Amino acid sequence: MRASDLKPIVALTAMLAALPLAVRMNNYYVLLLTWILYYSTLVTAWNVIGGLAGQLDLAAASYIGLGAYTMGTLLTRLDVTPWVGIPLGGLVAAGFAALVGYPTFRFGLKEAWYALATISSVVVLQKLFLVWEGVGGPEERYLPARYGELYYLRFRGYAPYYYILLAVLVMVLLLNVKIRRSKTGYYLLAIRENEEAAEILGIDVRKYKLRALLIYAFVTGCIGGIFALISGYLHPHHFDTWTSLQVAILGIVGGAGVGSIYSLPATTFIIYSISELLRSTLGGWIPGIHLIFYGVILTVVVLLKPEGLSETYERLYGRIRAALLRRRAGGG
Amino acid sequence: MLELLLQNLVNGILMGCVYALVALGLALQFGVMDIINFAHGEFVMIAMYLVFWISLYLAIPGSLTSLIVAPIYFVFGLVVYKLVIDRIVGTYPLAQIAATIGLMVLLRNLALAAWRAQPRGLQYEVLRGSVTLGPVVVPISRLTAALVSVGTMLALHWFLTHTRLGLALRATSDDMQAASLLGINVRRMFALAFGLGCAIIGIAAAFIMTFQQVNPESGLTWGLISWIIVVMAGLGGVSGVLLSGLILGMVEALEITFWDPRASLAVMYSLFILILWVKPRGLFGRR
Amino acid sequence: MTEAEALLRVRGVTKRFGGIVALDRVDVDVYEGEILGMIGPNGAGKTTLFNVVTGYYPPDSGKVIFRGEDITGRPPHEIAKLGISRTFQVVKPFLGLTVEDAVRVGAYNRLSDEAEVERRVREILEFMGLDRLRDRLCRDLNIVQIKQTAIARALATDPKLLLLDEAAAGLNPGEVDDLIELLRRVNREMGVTLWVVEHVMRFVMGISDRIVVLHYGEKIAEGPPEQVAHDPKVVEAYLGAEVVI
Repeated sequence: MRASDLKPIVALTAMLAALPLAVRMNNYYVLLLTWILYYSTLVTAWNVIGGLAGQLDLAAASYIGLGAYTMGTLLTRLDVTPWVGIPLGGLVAAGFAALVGYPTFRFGLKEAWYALATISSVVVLQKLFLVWEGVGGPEERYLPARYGELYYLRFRGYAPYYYILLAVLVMVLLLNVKIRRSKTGYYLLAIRENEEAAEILGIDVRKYKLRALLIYAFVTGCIGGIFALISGYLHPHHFDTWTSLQVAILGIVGGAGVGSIYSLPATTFIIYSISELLRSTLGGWIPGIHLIFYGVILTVVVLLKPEGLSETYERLYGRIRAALLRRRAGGG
Repeated sequence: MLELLLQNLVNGILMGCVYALVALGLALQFGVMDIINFAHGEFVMIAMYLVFWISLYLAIPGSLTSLIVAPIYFVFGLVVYKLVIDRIVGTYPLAQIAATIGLMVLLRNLALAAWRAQPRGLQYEVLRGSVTLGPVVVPISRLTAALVSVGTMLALHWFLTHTRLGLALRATSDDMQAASLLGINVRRMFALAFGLGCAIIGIAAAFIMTFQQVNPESGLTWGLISWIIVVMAGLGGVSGVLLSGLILGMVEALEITFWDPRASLAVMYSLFILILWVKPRGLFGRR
Repeated sequence: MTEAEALLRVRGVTKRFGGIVALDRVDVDVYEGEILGMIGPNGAGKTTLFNVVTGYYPPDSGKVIFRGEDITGRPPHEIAKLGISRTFQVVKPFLGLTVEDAVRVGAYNRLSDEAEVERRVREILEFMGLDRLRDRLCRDLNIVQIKQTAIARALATDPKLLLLDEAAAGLNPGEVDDLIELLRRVNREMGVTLWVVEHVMRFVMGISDRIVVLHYGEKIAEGPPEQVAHDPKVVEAYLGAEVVI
């Protein structure tokens, strides 16, 4: 990894670490920031499959749910610490991802089938966990309220989770940078650009897609475990198709893949804030206004720039960056 | 047990016909344009609401609203084609999927905003009661829906094989470039396929409403069922879609008989993954 | 040359699409070090034959043997590892990648050491005269540059045999001459055997040591360019007038 790759990560981390202090640890804002960070982490992980490999994965909620139930069930039944339960949840999620990914990544199969298979998996797992009374069932299953103990990773406020997610975000960013500069990264980009051409350059397309999927699903499963700790209970509605769609929408609008990886947390920050603003102001009259907003923004962005989405974003980002640099130069 | 199985199988066959009709529009669009509309289920859901409101305000039976909803939906299809689909034909597959997913999110949440989450069912319906055949009770509404479904499929099949327009559609589906060399306006064929696909949804929605309720969340289930059928049918034409619908209906019937009805989607999904695994070109596909 | 020396042997390959026979028991030998041309009217099955050889379609019957090894039905990435690469009639560029990265993708085929990969990328870019464009996105290139990049990334995989599908289509006469010159150098200096499919007669006649002619999926002629051009069957296939050299 080059030093120039690390600099923005250090800067971003410092900025994000200071944010809760900037809002004086106000509960509402810290909660809001925690969710923004949660989605940023998911979208940044999604970049590996959706951005680099160019596969429209809509199963984020499947991996989150599996990660949550694995960690939570081990914790409530066997008193296994989340430190172990979270990575195990990642492994379960990756295993499930392989079951869906292996058949749909067959060379030459239509891209749409993968998107269909993944979004459907969320609905299906939700139903299965509803029926599977032993582990799931329609009742909430609460996690032990052992607050403040490091073994249980449960906390009363949101700030600790905010910093846990920040640590995860940094790891996922580093992972992205590392992959992007490796053989795997170049291979994934080639696959995204043209699978047929990639094959004859010696790339086993299915193998590399699966590799990207397993990395992404493992990380997302781990985030699912953390999600369960934040929400404090397990329920089949944690398999939420909307979460999946939101992650993909933020990824697409953020220009996952070609552009800078930092555009993803940045986009998440902007869009999530706007949607939250819409929800808190207009949501009373028009329920779901913030969700409609996502639908509008995705459709409009894709229609206006179906191919060079990330390019547009890059240009805008470049302009903002240039403006900021100018200001900094002027200020200093 | 045997009687229950028999009853469920009959239900499954009737339901399978309806499933096939719901998927037929999607299969037609996929066959002609090579595009999967992720908002298909949401189109079905919105059509069901249309049926509900038209039936309520005009005080006519839901089944009769098909005569109104189908043409409305044909026009709706043309508009959506012009506004969205026309711009994404032939672009990056990812962009195609993303655009219709945007449509899906939009329609689902607009429905939620407009009509809230509570389910709605028809107030006026003439298709009531049931006929008893030995141990099996067949509701008139489901029987009619199945018959209408098969009838619509036969009509579409006839249209595709016996009219100039239908032949032009099939030519476009087989080979877009060759069709355009023959003087067929490919874009108009796309619009026609999309409009027709939507009109079929309109018919299906009216008859589904005679025995089911609608809520904004139901779109995804209809979408899932339609996608499975299209994957199963491959590019197998109308008969492939009907057979796939029947298979799905019967699988569901068996699942309900021997396990938990709430898990039927999960079983259907396993079927979907299994088909992608062993027969990725579909069970009835030509290529 | 004896059959045993052939680098690639295509034996009795048949491929049907529905009722259409795209290839009908085709035999082709490609000898080490040569430049083999393949011509034929539209729909003669040239691209289909390339797709069979490179593993994109399995043949319905027949065999493809490369350096004595049966590679029939192997997937393209394994075939690339064995030493066959190709370009496509529809170019299939990596639009979002820079020229350098596109070539790098090819270089990873045989190399894993980063320093070696970098050296290979530099070599190929220089050889192809693409070093000025190394940081340019493929989306911003013109058609000639896109085609050069496609050849460059294929060469980067270090192939023994390179299949070129209509590399000269869309180029002006001056560009065609440059391409002939370049491919001759690829053939001589890099020791890559070439098999080219072409519509541009000026190109295929100018570059090929031997020519194979396909017509409706059948091989109707084979031999040196002069001989093939005057073969009555070939002239008939092209309706006489079209085969003007």
